[in-house]
Amino acid sequence: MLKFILTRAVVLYLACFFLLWRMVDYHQLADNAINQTMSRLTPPMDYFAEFVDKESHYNRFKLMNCLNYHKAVAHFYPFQGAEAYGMLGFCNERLGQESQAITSLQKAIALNPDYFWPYYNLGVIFYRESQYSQAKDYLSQALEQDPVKTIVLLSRSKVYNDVNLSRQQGPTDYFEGLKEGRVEAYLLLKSIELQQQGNPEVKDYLKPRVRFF
Amino acid sequence: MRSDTYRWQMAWWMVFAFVVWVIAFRGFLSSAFALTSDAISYYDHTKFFIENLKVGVYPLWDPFWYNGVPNDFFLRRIGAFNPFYLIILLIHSIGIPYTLSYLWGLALYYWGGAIAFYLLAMRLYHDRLMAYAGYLMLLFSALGTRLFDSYMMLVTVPLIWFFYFLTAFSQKPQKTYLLGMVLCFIVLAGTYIPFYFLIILGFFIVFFMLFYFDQIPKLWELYRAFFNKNKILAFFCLLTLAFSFVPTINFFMEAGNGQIAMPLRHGGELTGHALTVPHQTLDWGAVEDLTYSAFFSNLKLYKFAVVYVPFFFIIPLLLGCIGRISRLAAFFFFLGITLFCCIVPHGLRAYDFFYPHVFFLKYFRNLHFFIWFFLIPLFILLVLEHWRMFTQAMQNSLNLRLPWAGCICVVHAAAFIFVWWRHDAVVSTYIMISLSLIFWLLLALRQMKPHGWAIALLTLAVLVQPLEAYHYFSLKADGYSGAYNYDFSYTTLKIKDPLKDVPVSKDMLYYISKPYDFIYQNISNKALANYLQYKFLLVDHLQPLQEPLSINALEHLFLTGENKAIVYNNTVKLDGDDPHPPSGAQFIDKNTRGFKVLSFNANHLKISLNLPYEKFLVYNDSYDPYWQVSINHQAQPLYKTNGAFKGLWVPAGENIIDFTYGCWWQYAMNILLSVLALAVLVGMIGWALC
Repeated sequence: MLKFILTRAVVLYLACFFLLWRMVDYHQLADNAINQTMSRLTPPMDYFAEFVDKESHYNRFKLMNCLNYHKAVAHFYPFQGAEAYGMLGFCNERLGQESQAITSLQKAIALNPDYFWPYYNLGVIFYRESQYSQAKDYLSQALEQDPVKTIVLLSRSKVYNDVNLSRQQGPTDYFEGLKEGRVEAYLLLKSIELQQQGNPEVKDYLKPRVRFF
Repeated sequence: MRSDTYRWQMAWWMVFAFVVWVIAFRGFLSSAFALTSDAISYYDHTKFFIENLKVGVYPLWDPFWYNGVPNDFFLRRIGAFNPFYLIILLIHSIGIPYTLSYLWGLALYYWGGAIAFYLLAMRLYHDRLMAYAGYLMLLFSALGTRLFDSYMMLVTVPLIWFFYFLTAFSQKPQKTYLLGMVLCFIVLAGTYIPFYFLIILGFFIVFFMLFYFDQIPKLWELYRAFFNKNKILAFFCLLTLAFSFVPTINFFMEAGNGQIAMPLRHGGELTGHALTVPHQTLDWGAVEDLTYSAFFSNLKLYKFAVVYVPFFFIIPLLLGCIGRISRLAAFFFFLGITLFCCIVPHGLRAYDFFYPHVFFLKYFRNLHFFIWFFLIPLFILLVLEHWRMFTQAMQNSLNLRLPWAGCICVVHAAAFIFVWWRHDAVVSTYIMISLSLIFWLLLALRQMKPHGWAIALLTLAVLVQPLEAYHYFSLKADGYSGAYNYDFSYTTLKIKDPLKDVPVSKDMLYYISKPYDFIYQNISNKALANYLQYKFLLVDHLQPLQEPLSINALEHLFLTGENKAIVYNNTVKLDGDDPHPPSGAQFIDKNTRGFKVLSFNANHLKISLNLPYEKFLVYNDSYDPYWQVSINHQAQPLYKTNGAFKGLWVPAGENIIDFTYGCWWQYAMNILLSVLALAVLVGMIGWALC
């Protein structure tokens, strides 16, 4: 029986891989592999920046590449997880994957609860789906966030800066963007209140969108 | 079924699979999609080589590449002795445009490699269905995509043929196989980096001796008997093998003489042999290639340089894992894994251990190319061996059909669960698993013979996934938007090329003549562009100079166009005999009276120049010691002028000036090896037909 087991191909392979695992300096190997891989995965940023500026330049596959890149960032660089999941949520939403977008944005919040944009984007998604209680909840939380913390996070984030620097229209002013976002969040909240008071036509006046930030 | 019928049936299926492959890549093969990355450069230099051959010129100089460079580097890079280029030449000569000829020739060449793989698998497993499965997996692997972004095929294909001939020769020594090996050796040794092949061959020999030590005396006896019987042929082959390394060695020596520079490859370092590569250029290695590829498991994202083998491989691989390990499987596995470990420069010590001891490791980077050159085909062979191990295990217990069927179901279920768990599989992956389940169950339960429907089902199971992957791949391809860099006439010399947009910053160039690299790096692009828009100029005064060159003086000269040139010679005559020389240099254009280009090609330029007074002619094409010049058939000294170019004194009156590149032995060596390779090919085919 033992001879039977030991002569199986799978046993030899497993033994070999175990031996290799012991010989490898995993950190050195992984550090180089991850850094190199990430630097080669970066190119979709150019497209991403172009798409952010001109949504008519929608290319499903290129957007999927951006999604792939941000998945890799979230996986390999946990310290940038909140921003990466925020971006994933944006890409998911644009690709029509609303449920994945919600999951990604909720992960972003779980990793950094002081970040305005995932709350806002979740609020927008629920608003558009007419799930007003959840939308209201997220939009309120968005408005409760300390703007300074969001600005600090955006300014220090490589994930955002890579896209921002690639934009042909010049880098976005994070402060102005946040100001607009907060105004829009407030308007959406008011719109929900009006709708709940029996004015359904208010929804037609506001067509919010999930934002890049 | 009769074996002849089966053979023909298989041949048709192989053609069918290739037609499907062509359809999958029709966008690239019809030139609707553009070549990218290294493939463009290979296209350019192959075109330059072939179109020159077509007019009877063996191009040893490339006047169009950064103001002229020795072409030896590009000839080595494309493997100029490869008779495969005749296919392109042949297609082109029947009137097909060059771009299509090149692409079709490349596709046929790749197909040739897949056929060699089939033949090799037949030699190893003696089973047509298995060999065909291997053929399909290789043909539809990511290797095919690399025709359009790289040059992997130029090494992979002859390497597969080499191992086929080696295996065939070792099983039954024949002249055809020996000549086949020699031909592949000429092609592989004639590339500028033959070390990939030599390392693979070295590893193969070492591992073969370890795993098949009992076969060595038998093989030795077999080889000895053959060589005793064919002494002349053996001597010819040995001589050819030795000779095939000469161009590469010559290139290596010339590169060390300081006439060329490869700044990008050299990592910007200023010292050392031009071909050396610093350690940091090895950062992208085999592990990185695989890590990167792992991010494209969703085949909708599939793109160039992503390692991929049709997912069908997983089934025989898993099935074989429960079989008894065979010597061949262990041989393939250890050969592959050891080679892989030795090409990982980070995290494993093997590479760093060998680096100071093995001289040639300093001369090549791109260690991940081993994956494409060798490890993918080797992996498919290992998969096939697993198939054989599983089949053998089934045959050893014929009464246990149902348990084997259960085992097949479990393996497919495992593959299905794995794919489903990943969440990113394309639909065809599930279809593949279903088709594969039917295929393997029918085989195990003896409900299907290994031909006819089995081949059809196998074809469908293997191809369904790559076809979807290549569909998405094509959707992302860039369209062909016009001519490539070398799509112009090589028989016309532009004597004036107007100023184009001058880039502000300097790029690090890949390959360039060393003197030109020096001025390129140090003189502003504006000054260079201003000066280099003219190919020829005449001056009356020379300023002798010894190195180091004054960059400021040269830049000033290039910007102002003074009537002087700087020459690296202290004994040269300094002034012409014009009593009233103009203040500026006389730049020659098409309206210049008395100047005419009589003939021009890669290695040669003949001009006529009628001057009222003796003047110094500067030809803004890189200087190289192998250039010679004659005036009215009288050899004249040629000077390195203005930092990097050619110059000579031309007397008053009507003169015929003849610039010629290269020595007789350079032409002889290249032409002889090309002819030898062709002769070996003809001999090989001749003996095969006998």
